[in-house]
Amino acid sequence: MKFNPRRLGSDPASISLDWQIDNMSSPAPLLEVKNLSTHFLTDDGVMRAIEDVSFTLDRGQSLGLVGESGCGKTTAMLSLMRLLPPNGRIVKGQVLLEGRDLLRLPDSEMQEVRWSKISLIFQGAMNALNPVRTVGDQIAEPIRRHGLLGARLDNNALDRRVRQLLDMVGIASSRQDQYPHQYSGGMRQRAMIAMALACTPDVVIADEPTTALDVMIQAQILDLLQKLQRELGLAVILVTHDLAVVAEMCDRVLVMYGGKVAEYADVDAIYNEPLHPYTRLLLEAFPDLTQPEGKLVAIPGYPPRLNALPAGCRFEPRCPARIGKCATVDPPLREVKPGHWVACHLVSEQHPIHPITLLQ
Amino acid sequence: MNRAPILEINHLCKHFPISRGLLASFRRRPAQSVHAVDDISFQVQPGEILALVGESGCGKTTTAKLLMGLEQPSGGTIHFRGQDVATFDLKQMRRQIQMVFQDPYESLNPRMTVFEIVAEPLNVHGLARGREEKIDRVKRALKDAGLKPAESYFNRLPHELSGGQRQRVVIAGALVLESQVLVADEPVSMLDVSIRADILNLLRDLRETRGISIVFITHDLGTVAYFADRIAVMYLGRIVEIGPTHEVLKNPQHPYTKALLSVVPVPNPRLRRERIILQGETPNPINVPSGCRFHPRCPVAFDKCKQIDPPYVEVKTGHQAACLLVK
Repeated sequence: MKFNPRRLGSDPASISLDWQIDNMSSPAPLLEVKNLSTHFLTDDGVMRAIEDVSFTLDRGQSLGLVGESGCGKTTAMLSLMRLLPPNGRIVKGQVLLEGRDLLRLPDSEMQEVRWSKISLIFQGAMNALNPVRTVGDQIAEPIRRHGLLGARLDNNALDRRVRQLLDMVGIASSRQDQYPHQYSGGMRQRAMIAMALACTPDVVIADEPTTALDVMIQAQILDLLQKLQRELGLAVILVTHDLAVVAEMCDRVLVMYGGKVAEYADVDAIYNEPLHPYTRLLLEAFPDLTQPEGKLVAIPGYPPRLNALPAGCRFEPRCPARIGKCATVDPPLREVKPGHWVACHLVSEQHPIHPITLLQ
Repeated sequence: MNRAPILEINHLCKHFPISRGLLASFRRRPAQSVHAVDDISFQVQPGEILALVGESGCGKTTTAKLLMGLEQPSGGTIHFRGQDVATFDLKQMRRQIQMVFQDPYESLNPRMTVFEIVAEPLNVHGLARGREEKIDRVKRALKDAGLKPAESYFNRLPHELSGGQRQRVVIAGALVLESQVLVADEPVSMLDVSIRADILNLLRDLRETRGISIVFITHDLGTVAYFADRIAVMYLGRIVEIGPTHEVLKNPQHPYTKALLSVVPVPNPRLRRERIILQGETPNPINVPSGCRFHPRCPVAFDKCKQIDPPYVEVKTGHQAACLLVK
């Protein structure tokens, strides 16, 4: 697979893709999410799906968003893209992309942001493609709607761009006229990635991109994502429940629980000096090939129902290290070490590493 | 390991014929077939957990179906406690070998209560004499599957249960007959990480308390490391390496096993390793490559690999690999 952005000519379909790398030195973060809160209005009352989610993302950086099902990972991403279902309301917060608040943009401008600035690789590559249209046609669709870097493309240029994208993700361009059923699972996921990259976005959100795939295909896809991230200076948000994939792929990790940020730190700190009891338990529950003698420990209980959240810390009912005030006072998210944020009463600023003994 | 094996599989094959077009049969083209399982042999000891590991299309699920009698083998034999299962009828076989399926959301009848689901096998086999015994056995199965107190689950419907609980109901349904062998096809891949450990520990406990043997089918080597006594790695319908878990993980011999191990993500960023990423996908089992079936994707293949189908070489006691490079 060879992809050389500099060898491209002057037609708009092959506008050099290294324009993103030129901007990499800008000091402000590319994406800054501040106190994002989303509620769903349902028959059972208000579901506080996510509350006060904050993080920043620089160019070329990758962020892993982890947590159990129902902890608000996907809602956070849909809020950021403003793609919530009709009963979802963003009640608070800012999503600053290069300093511009996406939550205040009119719908028409937001549509331009999707695909051209932020794009999504959907969960379940098996079902995300339209079975009655060719793969090439579907990859061309966002470019047809949004143009490429502000320019509309004629059919020839569009065709060239599609072939270029397929080449980037390692699919022979002769297969652009085939239908999704002629593709294997891994190829479909590659096609989804090509589609997400079609309008040269700065940020790509990958929601469980490898969940349904075999280990070897998963390794191929992750390898591809890493390569594209490096070559195009993409910022990637990887939404997953697979802690091992995050350890291999990401620079920063955001652990969510019950719709809130439990811990937010560099990848090394999360795995080697985790501070939040939930992070520790998640790691204990995850099988590690390098430590076959270790013991797998399940986390007792279930995540809280979002319409009946505990008054204090949301993890308190399941937490083996809880103390008195956990049930009543919700711990704020604090920076206990440079770049390491935790929401837990047991971790205080004075003693950043509190010896929590969780497991006997 | 000199006890009598509970399951003994010898040269088991399953070929699915491909229906030919009319034209092809006129031209007398040779009939083709998919070699889903191609000459595999292994044994399972009482109380042992054997993991069958491989990518999609390697034949692991077909092997499970053969063990369950859901497919008839095209060749080879399966012996249960020394008896050929071909002489059993299906009912007899099912009493001894039960299956846990992958998806607990699909494998339970949504209109039956937990009690009805778990009692169903007893009705089918006419095993429980009287209502009391039936309740007793269902209660015991639910309790052993970790659903306590068992009575509180009797009248619940599957939709009222979480994924983990559903999988426990499936396991209870398999336990109620007191079978000796459990075939578990990816039993935790649909579950959340926090619950997986629970189900795996449950299966391991059952081995201790009931002495059940488990054939555990998965593509996830990470899980296997915790769980299995032995690992059999499958590629294109053939077992390429088999041995005790720690042996295979610490000292893998077959290049495919090595590649597979290298791509399993490890939850520690300090251990980011060089991954051996095999390009492409498992070839179509209609046209199995000549010689060693792994040679087209093998990073260390040499000329001979195209001609010679490698025999098994014993590396250590009980650890075998089929590769010409293994000495």
